[in-house]
Amino acid sequence: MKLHTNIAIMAVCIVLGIILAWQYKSIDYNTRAASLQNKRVEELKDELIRAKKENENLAQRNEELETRNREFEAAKGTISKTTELLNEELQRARTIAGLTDVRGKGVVVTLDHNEFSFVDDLNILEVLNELRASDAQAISINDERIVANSEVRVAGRYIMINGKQMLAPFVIKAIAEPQKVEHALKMLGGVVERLEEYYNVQVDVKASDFINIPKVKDDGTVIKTDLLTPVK
Amino acid sequence: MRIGNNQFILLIIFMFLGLTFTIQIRSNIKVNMQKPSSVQAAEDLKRQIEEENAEIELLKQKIKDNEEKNEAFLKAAVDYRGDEELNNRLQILDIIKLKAGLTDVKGAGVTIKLDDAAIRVHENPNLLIIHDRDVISVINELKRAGAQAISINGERLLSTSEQVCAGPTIRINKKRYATPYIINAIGDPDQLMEELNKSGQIAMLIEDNIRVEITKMSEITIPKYSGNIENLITGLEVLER
Repeated sequence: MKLHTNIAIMAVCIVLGIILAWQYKSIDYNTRAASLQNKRVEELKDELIRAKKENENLAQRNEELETRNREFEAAKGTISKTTELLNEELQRARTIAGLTDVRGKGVVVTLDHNEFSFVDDLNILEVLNELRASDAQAISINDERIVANSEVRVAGRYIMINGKQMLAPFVIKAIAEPQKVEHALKMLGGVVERLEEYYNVQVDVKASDFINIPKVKDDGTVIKTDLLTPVK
Repeated sequence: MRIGNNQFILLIIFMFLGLTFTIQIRSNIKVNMQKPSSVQAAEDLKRQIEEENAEIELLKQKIKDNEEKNEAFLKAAVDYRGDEELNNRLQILDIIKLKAGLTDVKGAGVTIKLDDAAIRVHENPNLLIIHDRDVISVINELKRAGAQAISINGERLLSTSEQVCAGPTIRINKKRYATPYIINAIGDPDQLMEELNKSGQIAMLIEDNIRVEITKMSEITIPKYSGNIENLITGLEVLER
């Protein structure tokens, strides 16, 4: 009789073991299904935020255009008003193209090497990208204005920017919200840390209320448009 | 009354069983309760996203119309005056806008398609995706080869355009795009191809199984910058002589 009982208990334990294993799988599945659902909701929330942001930007742009249109309509009469508006458009386009000297609040980032390192094109480009990501509105490197098609090229010991040869130190000026840029550059794992730790590049970041950035040379050597055909 | 050994074991076993059933049932109830509420939330969000997208399409169309009106008005205002000086200025404006990236342009060039690795060929998932520096490097190479206009996924690159990668998406001109990244560049196609073919960065990408397709094009159209123009210059004080 003892044997019967033992076998019975063994049988029950086996069944129990199976049930436990089954239950574990089931709960694991349930938890994953639940978290997948939540993830889906989170992703949708992000998508909604992005859509709303784009909407906002577009609405602003539209508003900008409608204001201009109203101004133009009003200007049809007077030559002075037309001239004024035309000049405004011109100055705006010139500023965006980098064809005007500008001034504003911003930062000065100086990159230099020590005896064992070398500041290369990618180092400079990473800094430029970080500045742009922080909404820099104008940038210059050693007083060369950076425009849309400015390249950073390694040429022997030199770095060439806008066709001009340069050596370290590279003084990069940017007009942007000083605190925002400084924070972005200096954050943990950010550009400054990476350049100093992995590339042995010395980085100095200084905020300033008066950053002067010169215009780009307009002699066709930097901004080239001969291969572009405007689409009407 | 003494509880025998066997009965004690059975007691434990059944307690365990009871515990097991309780946990199972609770877990099931929890999941079932979450299901309808999160499904509801998802439905809700989807509907809102659709509304926003419809609005976005509407605004894009309005902007296109307003931009056309804008140019027409300016031209009409100048024509109306019949003033040669103003006409000259208007023509200069067109040239400057071309230089500024504020005009749709077309020309010969190349198109590059970058996509994440198709399969998990690496242990390190970091090597499977495209990074900022990859895109930045390719763009720089195009500029070195004389590209005169560049766009990524339809976004015109200006001097202020950032390229920030995060996972499988890239942020350009404040907008997010998913892979694949299509880079268009107008320039001398042969010069561009030569530079890209010698590119160390691109060779590295291909080695890491990032999918890279480069095609010479006899004509590509690159759109103008489509963001807020005012936002580009709010912090700038123009110093004119």
